Amino acid sequence: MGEKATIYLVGGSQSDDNWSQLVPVLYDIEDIDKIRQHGVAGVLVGTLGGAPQQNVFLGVPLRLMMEEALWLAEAGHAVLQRVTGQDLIHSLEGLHAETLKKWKDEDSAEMGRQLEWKRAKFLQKMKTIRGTNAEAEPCDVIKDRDEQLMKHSIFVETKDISRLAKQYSETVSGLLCQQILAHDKKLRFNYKVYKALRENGYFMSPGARFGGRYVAYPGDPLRYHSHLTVQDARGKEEDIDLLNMINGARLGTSVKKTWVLPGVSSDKEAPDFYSVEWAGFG
Amino acid sequence: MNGENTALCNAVFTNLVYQQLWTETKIVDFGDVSVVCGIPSHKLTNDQNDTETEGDGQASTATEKHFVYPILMHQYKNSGLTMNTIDHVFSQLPNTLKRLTLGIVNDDGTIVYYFIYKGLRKPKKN
Repeated sequence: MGEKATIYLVGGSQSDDNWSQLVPVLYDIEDIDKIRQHGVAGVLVGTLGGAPQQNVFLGVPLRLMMEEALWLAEAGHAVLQRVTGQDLIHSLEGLHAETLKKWKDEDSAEMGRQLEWKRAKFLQKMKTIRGTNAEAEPCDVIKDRDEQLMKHSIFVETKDISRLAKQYSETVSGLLCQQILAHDKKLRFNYKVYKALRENGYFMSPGARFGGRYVAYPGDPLRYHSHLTVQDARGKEEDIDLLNMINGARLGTSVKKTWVLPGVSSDKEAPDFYSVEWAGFG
Repeated sequence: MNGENTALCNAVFTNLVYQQLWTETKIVDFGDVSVVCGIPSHKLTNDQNDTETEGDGQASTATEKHFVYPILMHQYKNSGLTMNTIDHVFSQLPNTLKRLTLGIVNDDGTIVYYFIYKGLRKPKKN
């Protein structure tokens, strides 16, 4: 794995341009750590195959908002890679018998190493607790039953990502960003807002919890409470729904969050913000 | 200043004076924007930031002058309030002003008040 995190875009099919259905996910723990250093926390969504209904302890994959994925890619912290079912079939096509054999050999070599280590441990143990003669042949000390037990306790690591997953390409990643933004006006607006807030030091998480587009934290969400509920970006000439504003700002009073209205204008890159809160009377 | 605006200013003025007990309340025109300004009967925020951000040192919120921009909330029509409108109101008011109070007049007679700050603002401490 290189310097940059790999973000996989899953969902949707290769042929149609249903860009809005793509979901950015990460599988590699190292990558998740890397992007957190850059102020992107994401949401863990992976559950256990055996108990899919439990949602208290979630693991990989880590799901990102599209804005986060785009920002990480644009800032050079990550590359995007689109994955579809078709890709898997294509990568199977290039697979040869010798590659397969190599992988198998690698696996059995790993198992051999573990077994060797377990045997040494076992002999050591026998020496200390049974006082077995140090010169005794290992095969005299290790019984069939012990050997079986050792084989069964070998740790088989389940990889987070398939060996078939392709290596990323930076040019494709850049192109993907452009395509995704080109197809979604709302995302273009919100991306400007996301970028401005991120570059201001805020961590964003999805805002549904408090009725916004983002909830913004002044630092890592594990250390800080969020300060702002940021609404969907809008054109500066768009009408403000006052009832909606009152809803949001009044809720903000009880949960200690400012209701933030971001406005985007075509003539400048940076969005404008207005923060709204209840005046405390009336 | 058009008729509707005058009516709204009067409604907000009356509410501030007789229900919220504001003092030194008056309707003031800044360019083409009319606002109601006055001094609240009690401190509205106890935010430490107030003195810092307003910079000129004069500002304890208890004595600070508040500017209330009235706006009508129709039940069935759009408000007509946009971010451009807010920009314009801010541009007409004194430069040092960081906080505008929106006086939202409902068509049932309710008036609610909301602070609007330019830029990002941490929630006030309560």
